[in-house]
Amino acid sequence: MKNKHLKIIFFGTPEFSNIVLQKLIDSNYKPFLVVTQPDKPTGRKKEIIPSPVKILAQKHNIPIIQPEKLKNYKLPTTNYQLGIVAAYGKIIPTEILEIPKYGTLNIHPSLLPKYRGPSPIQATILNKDKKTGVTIMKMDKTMDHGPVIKSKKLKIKNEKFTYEILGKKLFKIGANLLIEVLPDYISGKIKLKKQADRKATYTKIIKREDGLINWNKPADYIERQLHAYTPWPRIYTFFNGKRLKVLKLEISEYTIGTPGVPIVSGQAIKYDDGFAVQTSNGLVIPSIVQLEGKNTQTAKEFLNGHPKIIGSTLN
Amino acid sequence: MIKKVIQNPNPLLYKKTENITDFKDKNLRQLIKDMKDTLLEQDGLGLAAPQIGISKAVFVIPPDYAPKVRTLSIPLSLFSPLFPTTYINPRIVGYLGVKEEWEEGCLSIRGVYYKIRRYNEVVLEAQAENGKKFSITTKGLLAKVFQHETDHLNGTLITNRLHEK
Repeated sequence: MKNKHLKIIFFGTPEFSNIVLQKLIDSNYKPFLVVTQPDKPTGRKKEIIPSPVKILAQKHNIPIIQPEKLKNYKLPTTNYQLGIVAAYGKIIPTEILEIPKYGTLNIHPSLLPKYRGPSPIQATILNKDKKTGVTIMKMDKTMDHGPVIKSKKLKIKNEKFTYEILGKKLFKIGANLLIEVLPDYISGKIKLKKQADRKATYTKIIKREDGLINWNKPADYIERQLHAYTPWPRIYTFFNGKRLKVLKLEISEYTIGTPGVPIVSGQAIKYDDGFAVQTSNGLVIPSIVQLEGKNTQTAKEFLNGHPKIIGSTLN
Repeated sequence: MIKKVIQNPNPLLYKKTENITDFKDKNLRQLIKDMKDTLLEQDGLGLAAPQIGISKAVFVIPPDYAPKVRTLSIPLSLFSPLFPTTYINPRIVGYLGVKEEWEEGCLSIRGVYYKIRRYNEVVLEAQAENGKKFSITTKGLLAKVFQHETDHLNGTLITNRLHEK
């Protein structure tokens, strides 16, 4: 039987990319080459860990390349018809985008032109958006600017999505959408839509400092910050000049205080067998924390070792 | 050795093939090797012996599509699953699921794809290169490859299946 497949190169790195790669494999669009980021030291032990995409590609006997930089890089072949990018995490130069006949497509987890750039999922969570989605677009020389092939909406009702869950959901929708539109796209039946550049908004690269908690924000914002920035960079505050990560928390809309004494944002108070922190609106009740250089602890364990936190102000 | 893939309308493609009986035959080894070489060169999903001019009941598939199976002889096989790429004397013993239409091409019919209706799940019984019997239940693409290749061994091409419901 003839192998009808297009020759496809896939660009991807994290778990999210695997959702798309797996779908391509299952749908008879198995790529013949996978481009992924180099193996990097990860976690506290700095172990060298291959990307999830590398592991999946190896399992399916797909050749892999891991260039440090794609600029001036020569792909092993230019004989292919389509590129597909899902969360690759590196810039792909225009020369490479334009090699294949059908161009290079990107699955972007927002409704473009909203949230162009590297952190659309985090922005959606932080801004408490009621609606998001995923866009399949043809890449051009400007980031996230190319024409749209198709997009699909996702309504967010009252779900409190974490980065990983929302990302998985969006890439799942994106992977299905891609498979759905590919035949028509290849046969030229789809009219590409230019993005409304005037309406474009941008997201930035997340830095470690973005995880710093501002206790003058309301408790529900801090909860969304935790959801957006887990597993990286996570959120933290300072206690006695040391970084204290909050790995898990609950919130309460009630503020507890002593009558006549003003409430100070960032002040820790006793709460159940652990502690809670005052915000501009409501309480943040950490349940799992980690002090710089130490192992994770429950709030109760932490309080046992650091009873002085009660009454002190975190910043 | 890479062989030439014979093209429609060669009468060999319409002949029912003979079963393999001697699994120690040197010619069988050579045939399998030639088929694998040719399949790789053609970047195909499957190749049947008649397509390289040998009217025997053998087909091969590419290694990266090989399914995991256990042989019918227990219990030793439990520990060593096969990933068969060679299927000798294959027979589809069960059609499961529903028929669905999709586009299919054949290495012996250049440049054309036809809309064909195939079952999306089948049970195949075959013998491995050493004669061991095994059975596979498979879905999706591989199920269609199995139907296409067993058709070849029975002298049927996709053009014979065009108007089936």
